[in-house]
Amino acid sequence: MSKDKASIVSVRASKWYGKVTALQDVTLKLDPGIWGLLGPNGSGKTTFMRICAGLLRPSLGEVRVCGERPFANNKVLARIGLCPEADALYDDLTALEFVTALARLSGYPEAEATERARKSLADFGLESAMDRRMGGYSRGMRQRAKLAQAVVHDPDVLLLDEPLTGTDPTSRAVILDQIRARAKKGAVVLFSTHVLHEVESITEQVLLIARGQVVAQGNVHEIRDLLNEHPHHVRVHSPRARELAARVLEQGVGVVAINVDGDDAVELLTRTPDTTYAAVAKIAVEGNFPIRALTSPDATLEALFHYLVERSGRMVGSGADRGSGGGGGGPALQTTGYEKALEPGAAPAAAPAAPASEETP
Amino acid sequence: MTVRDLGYRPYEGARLPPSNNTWVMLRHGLARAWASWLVKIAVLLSCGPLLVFAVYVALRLWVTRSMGGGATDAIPEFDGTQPLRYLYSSETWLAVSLLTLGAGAPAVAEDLTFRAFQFYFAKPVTPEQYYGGRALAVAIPVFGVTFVPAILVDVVMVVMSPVDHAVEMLGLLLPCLVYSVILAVVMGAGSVAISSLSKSRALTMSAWLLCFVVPHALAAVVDGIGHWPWLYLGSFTGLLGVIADALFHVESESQLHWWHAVPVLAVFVAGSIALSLHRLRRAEVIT
Repeated sequence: MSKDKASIVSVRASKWYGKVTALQDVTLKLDPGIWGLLGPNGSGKTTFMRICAGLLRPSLGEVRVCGERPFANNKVLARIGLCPEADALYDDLTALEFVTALARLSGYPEAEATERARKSLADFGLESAMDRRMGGYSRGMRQRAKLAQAVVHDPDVLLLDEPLTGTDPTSRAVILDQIRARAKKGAVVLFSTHVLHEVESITEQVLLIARGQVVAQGNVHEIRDLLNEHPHHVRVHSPRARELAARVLEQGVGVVAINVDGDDAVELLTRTPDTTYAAVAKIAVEGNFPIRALTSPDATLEALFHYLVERSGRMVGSGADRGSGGGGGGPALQTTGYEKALEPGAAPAAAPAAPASEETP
Repeated sequence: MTVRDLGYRPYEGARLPPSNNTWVMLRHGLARAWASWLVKIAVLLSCGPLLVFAVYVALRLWVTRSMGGGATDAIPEFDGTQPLRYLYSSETWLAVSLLTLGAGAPAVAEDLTFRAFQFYFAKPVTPEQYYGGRALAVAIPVFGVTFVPAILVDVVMVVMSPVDHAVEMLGLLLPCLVYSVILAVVMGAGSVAISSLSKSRALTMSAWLLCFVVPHALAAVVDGIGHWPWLYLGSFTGLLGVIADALFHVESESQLHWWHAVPVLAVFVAGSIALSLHRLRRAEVIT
């Protein structure tokens, strides 16, 4: 059987559940390697994974896995391994029974399926527990059993929906080793999470998804830079908050806006958070301002997602979003014009790990 | 570290065809069914009518001998098909009801509860194969707990009948086979259809119990009081009884005949299969 190269291609894929838009106009192309799919809860990561796994049909657009639509397509489904996010296991089955049954559904004869299930479970550190009922497993063990069933048939496309949830550091290392091994063999591994450092530990290629849109795609270090560069909120709690805010403005330390929240709190919006933190500390000491708290509500990925979504929202209709990798046209780090690349007869896409070459305005 | 370093080896053999998935689902379904205590009780209860039959045979032997008959006279003659008809009736209400309650009514609901569809349908498994496996995992045990006791009873009747009567008794295996198949198909299709309606096992099991008992009880009351048997058309258990009467040539004063029962049961089975497949095809795994 001639096999198309492992890949995931999405062209303007959207998915609605009634009036709720779960995925909106997603266009991307993923070649072999590990891809981190980053997004806050409810951003559409799981929906995208399920479309790739053939569990859902896109409402609009199309998703192709290994060159074909996966929904109800046995040929493609045999090449996909899915580790769902939900803690979905039969409590009264042993891990070996469970993984063997799923290996058999991939077409392996019984003896081969059993052997592969044993190997797969052992690789994920469940050698001594594979004959126990899964009802007695810890969260991490259940997670590893799910991962074992996802790789038991040696898939070309591995879809891992939050695979590190509930795992201890040892399990995490085992799981990450296995994922790397799969990717080295030429598989596309799509790894979803809402924790940036989980992705950083395994890959540099990331997709950022928020509110159903791919808002950025590129290198994880660029995401880090974005975290540092996007307008940053610094919240200061002090009984003399207004006075403190006035001093900060006087000194002009990169603050672009100030929100006064009652008499004892002020929020500074800055593009140079390090300078602002230093300046606030200096002003507080020199002016003898009592400081109750100095916090940043948005030094997290969540804040970055909000920022990118807002930014993409501002650009919709302005023309600035055309040709971007995602639907929104945020700071798409890898804006290589996928729609063109996906047209029939187009040249193969560039290596996925290519660093960002341009930024949107 | 590469996959080879981890000890994986390429599989050179042929993959089994997707049609094999029904067989895999069936085995998985049987294993899960056996895990249910209701199914274990059902299997135990299916031996009950056999014990009653054994006691009946022993009593007849004892009565005949105590009346002073010779060895040949001591062989009791059986009243044709009556023992088998009673056997099927009691197996349906004792064993089959519990078996379908334990294995059929929760079959799909349990997969919905455990969100297992995402494992099956992310593999090369079609809803038809899934359904085939799940329904057969109910139908085969139903066939087993009815046909095996029927064989045993029939063998006893053959052995204890006069030679000229034995062949006739042996021939009863054919209606037994036909009726067990009909029973298995109706019960398998019906219970799995009910199980596909909700992810709540309690709800699907209660619904199946209601479908099993209530229409039959209502029809029996109406027939008993008003001599109006047509309400049995709404009871698949009642209709199965009508077919059993026809197959085992049991005299009945009812106006209902097998040609009434067969089309209604055919519609019931076809509707159940269509409903199950519709629910499965719609089961986009949204959690």
